[in-house]
Amino acid sequence: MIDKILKQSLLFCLGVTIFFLFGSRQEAYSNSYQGATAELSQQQKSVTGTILDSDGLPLIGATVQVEGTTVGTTTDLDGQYELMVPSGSVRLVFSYIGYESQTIDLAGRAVLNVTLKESASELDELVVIGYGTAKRRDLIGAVDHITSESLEKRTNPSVTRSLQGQIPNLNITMRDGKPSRETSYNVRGETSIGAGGSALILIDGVEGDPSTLNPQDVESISVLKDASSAAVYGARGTFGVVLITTKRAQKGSVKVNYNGNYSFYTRTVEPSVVTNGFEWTTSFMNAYDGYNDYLGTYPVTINNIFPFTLEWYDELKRRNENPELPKIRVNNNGRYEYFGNTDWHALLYKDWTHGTEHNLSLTGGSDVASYYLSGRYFTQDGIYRFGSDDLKKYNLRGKGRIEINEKLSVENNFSIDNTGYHYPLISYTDDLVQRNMEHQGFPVAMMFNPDGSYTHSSLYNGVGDFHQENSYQDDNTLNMRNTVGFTYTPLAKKLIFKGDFTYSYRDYQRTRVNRYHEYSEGPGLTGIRGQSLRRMWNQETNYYATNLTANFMPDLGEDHSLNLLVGGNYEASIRRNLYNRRDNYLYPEKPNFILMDGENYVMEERSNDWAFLGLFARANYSYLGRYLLEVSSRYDGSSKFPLNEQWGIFPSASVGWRLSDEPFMQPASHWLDNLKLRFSVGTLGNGNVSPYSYLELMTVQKTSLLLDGGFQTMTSLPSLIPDNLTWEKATTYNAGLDVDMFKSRFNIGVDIYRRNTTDMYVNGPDLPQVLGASAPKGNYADLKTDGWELTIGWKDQLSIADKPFSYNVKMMVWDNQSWITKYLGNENNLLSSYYEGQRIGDIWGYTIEGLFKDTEEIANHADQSRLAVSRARILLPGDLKFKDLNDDGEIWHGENTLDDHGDLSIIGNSQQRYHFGVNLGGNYSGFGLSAFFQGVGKRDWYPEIESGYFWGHYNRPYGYYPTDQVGNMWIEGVNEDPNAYWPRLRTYLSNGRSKPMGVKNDRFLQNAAYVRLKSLTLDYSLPQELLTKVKMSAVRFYCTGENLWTWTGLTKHTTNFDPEVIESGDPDQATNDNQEHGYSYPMLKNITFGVNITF
Amino acid sequence: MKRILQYFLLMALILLYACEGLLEKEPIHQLSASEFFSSESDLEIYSYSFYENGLPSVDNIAKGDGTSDLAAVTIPSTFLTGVWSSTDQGGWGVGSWSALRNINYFLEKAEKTPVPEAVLNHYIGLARYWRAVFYLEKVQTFGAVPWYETALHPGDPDLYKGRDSREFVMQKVLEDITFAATHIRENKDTYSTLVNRYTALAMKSRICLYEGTYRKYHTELGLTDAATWLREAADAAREVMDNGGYSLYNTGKPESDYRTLFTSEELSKLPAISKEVILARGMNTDSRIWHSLTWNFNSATNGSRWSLLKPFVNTYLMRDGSRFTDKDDYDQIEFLHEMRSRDYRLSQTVRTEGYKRSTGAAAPPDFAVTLTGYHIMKWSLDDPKHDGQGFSTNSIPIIRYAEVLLNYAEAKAELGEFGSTEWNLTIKPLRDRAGVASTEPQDADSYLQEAFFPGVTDKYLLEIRRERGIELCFEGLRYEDLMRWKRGELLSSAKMPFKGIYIPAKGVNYDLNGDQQADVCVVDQLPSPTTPGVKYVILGSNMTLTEGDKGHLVWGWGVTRKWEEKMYLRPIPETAITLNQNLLPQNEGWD
Repeated sequence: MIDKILKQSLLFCLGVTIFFLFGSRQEAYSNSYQGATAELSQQQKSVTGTILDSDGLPLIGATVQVEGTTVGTTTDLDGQYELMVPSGSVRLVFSYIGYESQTIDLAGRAVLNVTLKESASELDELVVIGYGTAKRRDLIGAVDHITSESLEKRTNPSVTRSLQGQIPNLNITMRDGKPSRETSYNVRGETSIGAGGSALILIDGVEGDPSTLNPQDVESISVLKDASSAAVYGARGTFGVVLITTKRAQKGSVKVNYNGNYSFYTRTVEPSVVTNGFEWTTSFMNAYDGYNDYLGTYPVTINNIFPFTLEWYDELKRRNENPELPKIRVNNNGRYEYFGNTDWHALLYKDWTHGTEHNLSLTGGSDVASYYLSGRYFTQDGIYRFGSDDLKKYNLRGKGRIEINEKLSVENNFSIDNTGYHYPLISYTDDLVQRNMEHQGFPVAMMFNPDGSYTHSSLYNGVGDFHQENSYQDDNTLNMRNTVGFTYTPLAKKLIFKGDFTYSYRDYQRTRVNRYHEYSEGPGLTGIRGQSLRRMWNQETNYYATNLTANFMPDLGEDHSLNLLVGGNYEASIRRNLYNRRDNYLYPEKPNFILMDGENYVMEERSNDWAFLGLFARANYSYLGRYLLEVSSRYDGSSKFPLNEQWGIFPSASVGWRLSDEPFMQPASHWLDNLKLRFSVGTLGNGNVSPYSYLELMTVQKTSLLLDGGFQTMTSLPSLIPDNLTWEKATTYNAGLDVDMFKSRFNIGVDIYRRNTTDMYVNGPDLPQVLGASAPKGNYADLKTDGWELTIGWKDQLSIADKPFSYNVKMMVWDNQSWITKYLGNENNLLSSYYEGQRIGDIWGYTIEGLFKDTEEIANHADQSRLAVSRARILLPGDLKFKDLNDDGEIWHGENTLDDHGDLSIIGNSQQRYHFGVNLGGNYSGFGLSAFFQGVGKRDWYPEIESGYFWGHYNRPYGYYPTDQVGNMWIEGVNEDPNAYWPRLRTYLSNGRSKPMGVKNDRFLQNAAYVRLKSLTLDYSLPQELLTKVKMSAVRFYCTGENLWTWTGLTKHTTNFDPEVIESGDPDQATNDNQEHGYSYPMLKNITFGVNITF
Repeated sequence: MKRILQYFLLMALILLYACEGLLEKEPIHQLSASEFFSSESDLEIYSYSFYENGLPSVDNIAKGDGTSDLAAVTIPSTFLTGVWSSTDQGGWGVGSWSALRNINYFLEKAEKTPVPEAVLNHYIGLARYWRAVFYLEKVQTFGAVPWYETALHPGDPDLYKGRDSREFVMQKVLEDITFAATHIRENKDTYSTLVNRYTALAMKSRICLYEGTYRKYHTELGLTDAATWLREAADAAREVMDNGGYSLYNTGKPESDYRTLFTSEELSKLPAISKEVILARGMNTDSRIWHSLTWNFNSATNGSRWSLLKPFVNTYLMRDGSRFTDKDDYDQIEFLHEMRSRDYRLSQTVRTEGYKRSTGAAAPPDFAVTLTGYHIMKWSLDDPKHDGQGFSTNSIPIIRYAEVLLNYAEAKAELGEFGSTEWNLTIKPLRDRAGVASTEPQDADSYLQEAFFPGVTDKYLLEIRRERGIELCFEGLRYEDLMRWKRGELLSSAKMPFKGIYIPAKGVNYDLNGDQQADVCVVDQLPSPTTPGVKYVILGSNMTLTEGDKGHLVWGWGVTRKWEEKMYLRPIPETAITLNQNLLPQNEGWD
């Protein structure tokens, strides 16, 4: 109800605003129109001149333009220009990269020489850092930032998706294309194998969730990567901090911006599987025969509910040869028999879907009060054909600032957003439809019976359930947040106090409704699948945060500069998780707890509360702007630890040297703007454990059995708790180099770092199972991460046909690797667990020599019987030949330990390596073209055992039959090609961790490196002369494509995977031990058409 | 400025002070372990967790005999057909041992609860009952296992101890179950879903009979005290018989009383049969606690098509008390006639003439489901709607008084103390209920000896084993019966092919339920046209006739079930040995 009111009021407000804006402007347009046409018919005359810099040297390629027109030229090698301008009142704009633009009234002159002043360079750009801002020139921590410009080039409903690949070592992996998908932000690789941890994300200084943001509200994003820059955030910022700053209120007359767009979406990858029923069934039988050692037996069912007989197969063959014949018949037992060629994927997915976004913002104000208001409506329709998964999102933000007097100002920042997402479900399970289709979506099975009823298969695989559209999930999230803050400056530029208080409320609600669905297996033979079940999860979070800082900048004379910061930060989160479930709808059209009568209902209320308190101090000192020093420390307390372990002190320090400002570098000063060396070291605590982990607690619940006539309240033993539990620590060493050259045309930034994460809170040593409990966790492990990042940028401006053409190129590459340096939990160095010295992501696997050619080769080869190829484990030509690396005559992993790993060796690494991003952009005559490529340079991927889109019939006889495999499989009597990629067709070869393909091996290790054109934008801005006529300040039309082109190493052997969607299935649904690679919501590509108007 | 700084410092201090307390957070939904165990109610709610962990599943009870000499299944267990090793073996996971930890934790803590001793002993008895059940299963699976009676801690050296001998562990089990059978309260709950003193006694008879016979027949163990165990078994059973207040459910309807025990729907029907049912798993529609047994036993696909085997069906007597197998042509009788005038339990275990679904439709054995023709319906509800959905609510008896009688009979017979008195106390009432004339055997049944128990000469013991097989058919006990009798061989294809009904000729339509409608026809190829209503059994590699064009149907499946001596015990799983080498030596034959 509240959501509905909220949505309506939001829409109403937006509507009213738009109405008034357009209404009041109407008059202005008509008034100004006449004057505009008159100017065009004027005569032209010539202007010449020279443009020089402050040293009197000519500037080559500087731009001269008639203000408000596209008329312009550039200077030649001598810095000279000549331009035809209309006679009358003309103002010329002179501009050059790295110099301040000048606008001069021509005032009838025929010669106009100009001297341009060097602009305050980008080095003076202010970058948001922890509890303040700093000039880029003075930064000595590893800090990166981007502004809204970079984000605007990527029209994307999610800030997170827009950020992917934009900042070196801000690693964002979107596991699929679900419109509601959010992901955590990783900074600089593996954080902790214990408590884990991702970057702390602060929105306007307070922890927030980027998914709640309207991307149009974002002004800038900073990433604090090393311990030194994140030190003031202490334990909350251990693994980096992302500071998102929203647009500020701007003084002056009202400025209104409208941004609207319409997008078309489609899947990046459409899994291609055989849909011919006969072809599929033949392969099914081959695979089955292979597993059963060619005994000539046949299965009684295809999986479990689809009957199989040889007679049916013969009939299938007959009907396949004669497509005119009906695909369904009623057999002797009165049951339907199916002979389909069903493309279940085509039934499940739409070819195209679409979405739209409207965004309106206004800002303005006086010297006393200013405001920023924005609202957004975003919708994206789902990709599923039925019960469509439509997303709707509303955002509203209001910011205001009142300057009470010269010393005191008060700010308020309010935001509210609401997201609703509807999602179809399978009636009887929370499993993924993609996985169920593998199990029950055979081409021979069909959706409907001749009488229009559903087939059992269609309800089992879920597509039929989707079609009925009455088993579904509704997610609704409401976020409200208000921050009120003050700035008090008792001594201008010397002493500043800042304080703020935030209250935020988040209500997340998920309702799942499952219903019974009826199917028919023959005329009059009906069955039922599903549940009459309703579940509701409700998570309410009340979050309070307050920050108080004092900034002191004493005047120590010209040469010295000191900035002292002290502050405190307290955060508390009070969360209640409510859950209820009940069976049996009394009124199926009204799924509500009270309108149900199941006795086995559950109502739960759980808490998840925590609080953090931190006191911090920071001192920045610089001498002559050349020698920079920063020291900080934070004293942190957390409620998640036992009383005696709650507090920790975490210090850090950094130094910087601006070589370019040294006198001896003076000769280079005309081309070298900046050369800075940085070094930092610091330690931060990580308290990212779940609350209450140190308490010995007993959980009370209801029995699942009926005891003494009903369900009884029950409890059982508490889990083992750690003897001791304290902060994990992360110590980061960082060295960096910044170079800016040629008036900021060219920049290089390099950072290398090492992060030691120690005392990681991990599982205790493996103890004999007779303990009857998993060993309690403890601070038992250490990790080392090494990495580097490199950014190179170039931008310049050329003259083409006397018009300026500006372009920019920015390339980023980064990498990191991690090693376990201590691990107490694995004394035997079992490879199945973490072990000391292990590089994270290393894949241990067998080596495959090829396919066996004949029985003699098999007889002479090492014993492979531990890796069962079939029921009786009888090897035949065409089977995989494993290399006996340790020459012991047996293919096996030995003890599976580091000392005795048998025939295993490290065959690859699953970590994403050499991330890169390339930004290309150009502007000419109002047109802009920008492209952003993103990718991963190296990554090995071994498809998990349940990755049916890869393994096909090698996984399950009744699974998918990928078209990639057709013709490239060794099949008895059909294709006995010793060079086939896929070995002798037998099923279950990948279905198990000690099966020949289920064990990792080099043959089936895939190259998951990729490069992707993440976005390509073409835009056109209307020329100023036209705009002034309609009294607008900017109009930009744009067309953006996302994920339009991809190259990936995967396609060598499989075309069914998007390189970004090779994680395990959708975490919103039931998962199967992370074995479901590729079964997720498809990644989408889209084309967006939009317009951005500023009044 | 000074004032401002002071103000700021003050703020910081207040903040710090206020927040110190706020850094303590406790969950609202869990109890602190240190304050638990303070009342009888605490003991009671904890005790329900034992049931959660220990009560056997519906599948273990009703489908467990799928691996036995009673039935054919589509795909037999890999343990019998495949290459089995310690890497395939489960049953030693943390999850399995956590049930024991849960009990031992209770036993440690409960002592301190301020309640009268009798109250405390009742709950301790419950915990020990479930520990006995836990260890019985471990011993049945692995033989010698380490015995633990405290909740271990991570640093405990006992984690790494070796296995305790079978004798030691079973002695402990006996102590536990004896304590339970002494101290658990006598009063029964209305639904037979809680353990009372007689449940413990019944379980004691089961455990002791198991161990007694196991020791007697597994002479390789060299244990000579089988008689002690058998005596304990007989005494415990006798106590239930004398004082338990239980009796067989017999309303004088031999054609239906037996099956009523297995098809009583809803919790509300449990009280009616609770005089015989000692412990049950209750089912109820309103509570959404149900199972899929009707579906499983009537589906060509959603189940293993469990079907009784001809040799076992042969053991059902004629109602006049005579042996079916004494007929000259007993092995060549057409199904319809074969099933007539037999022990009424046969027509309540498999589909026979006259069986109808609740719709009134005749239901002959369905060859889309059954592999042998003996279509099991003991657990199936008559309403065919259950054939396609998993909402059956017939409650599942776990221990029945009938078993207590059989335990008593067998223990006495093994002790050589069985005679007419015992017969009249045990076998007679079972046969009475089943409408079978109770005639004591005059001699050892040569059919039983030949087909099942070659070493047994005691005429009573053979009759008791016959009775046990029939009465407890598909109640999940048969596999362990074979183990203790050392008759694992009966699981092999060689001894016990999946043999079905007798088919006098190929290509002939047969009526299976006497309604003059043809039901089945065995053919090489599907004829054209086909006769409506007839299920065609097509011969081939999966299904054959013993004599080519006639004989018994045999479900083949191309795989051989093997039995070896070592298979009486399972190997200790490799994952267990990896973490504790002291569990070695491995069970014999599994190295």
